[in-house]
Amino acid sequence: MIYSLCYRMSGSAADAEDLAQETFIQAYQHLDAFRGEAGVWTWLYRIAVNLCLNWRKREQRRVHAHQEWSEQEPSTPGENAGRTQQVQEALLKLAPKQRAAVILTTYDGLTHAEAAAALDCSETTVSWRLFAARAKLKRLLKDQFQTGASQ
Amino acid sequence: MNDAELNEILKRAPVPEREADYWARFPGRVMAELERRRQAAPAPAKTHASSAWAWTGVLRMLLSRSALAAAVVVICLGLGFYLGFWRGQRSLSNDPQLAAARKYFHEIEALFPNQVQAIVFDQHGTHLVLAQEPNVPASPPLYLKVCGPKGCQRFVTFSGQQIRVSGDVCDVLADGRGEVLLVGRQLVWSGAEAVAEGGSYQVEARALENHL
Repeated sequence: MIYSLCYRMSGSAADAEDLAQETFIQAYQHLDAFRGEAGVWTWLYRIAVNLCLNWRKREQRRVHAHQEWSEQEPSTPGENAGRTQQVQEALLKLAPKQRAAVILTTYDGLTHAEAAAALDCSETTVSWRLFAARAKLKRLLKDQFQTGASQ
Repeated sequence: MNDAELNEILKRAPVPEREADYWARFPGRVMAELERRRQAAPAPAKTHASSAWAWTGVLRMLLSRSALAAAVVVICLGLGFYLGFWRGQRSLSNDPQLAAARKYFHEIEALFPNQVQAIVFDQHGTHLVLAQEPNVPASPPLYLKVCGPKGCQRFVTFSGQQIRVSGDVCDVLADGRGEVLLVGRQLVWSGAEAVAEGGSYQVEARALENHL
């Protein structure tokens, strides 16, 4: 789950591996910060999301990530590969915090309250980020939806 | 396009699979990296010899006002607990710290199955002792509380593991009846009695799971 989160946040499998590993290292090193108020997974998500957000700030590797993604993609055959790439590209076009909100709630199934705990913000903020992200994703993925619907 | 349709499209995008071997080696890589960083870090003025001990600082906590207030509360609670313990008025079964220790243990064990050698609670915070590989034999977790001249430490550990009590490495052994034996250079203690003296130490040991 942490690896998937990191992959969707970074768009790069190699970076996701590093980020997932770093998440567990940070968790180990800062075990005293875990007070047990939230579940351990929420705590791990929080560490992972912060690492991914900092990674985005530190490294402007969006183009590189797309290139790498395209190289990985032959493992997903045919038309699905293009659709998958479109989705990942659309996710990467979101603001990082909006992307994190979408990934946590849509892919990992967190409630808004859990996502808020992981993102260290209020539930209202999560709702707004999701609202904005969904509006943008619908625009970006409109073609894909129309293609799918016509099929 | 509505939200459900958008979700469907989003979920169609899979994450590239890693090989099973990658996940099998993942814990080992994390531990190796931790060890590498530990060795690369400058040695603190006073440190334990064991490489697995990860000491975390409390200074940054003391920097914030809220943390200071929390520290005062913790100190008061600690003092109350200390006095209650030494007077023998309080049993382990009523110890809220035991419940917290159990929660910690289950959370950590879920993260690092068969790697937890000990979880240590002391005045510096919570510390985790993990094996390099997930090869810690499964056995009932034990809860130990050791109070000595330098304060109290609490441990969640297993029979056959070692714990460090005020710098003294002690072997933890438990027999089939759950009686715990603690053997170190300065401390030899048997749990034949519920609470027993171990030189200048006062020790209590119980099965972690029996008191919840």
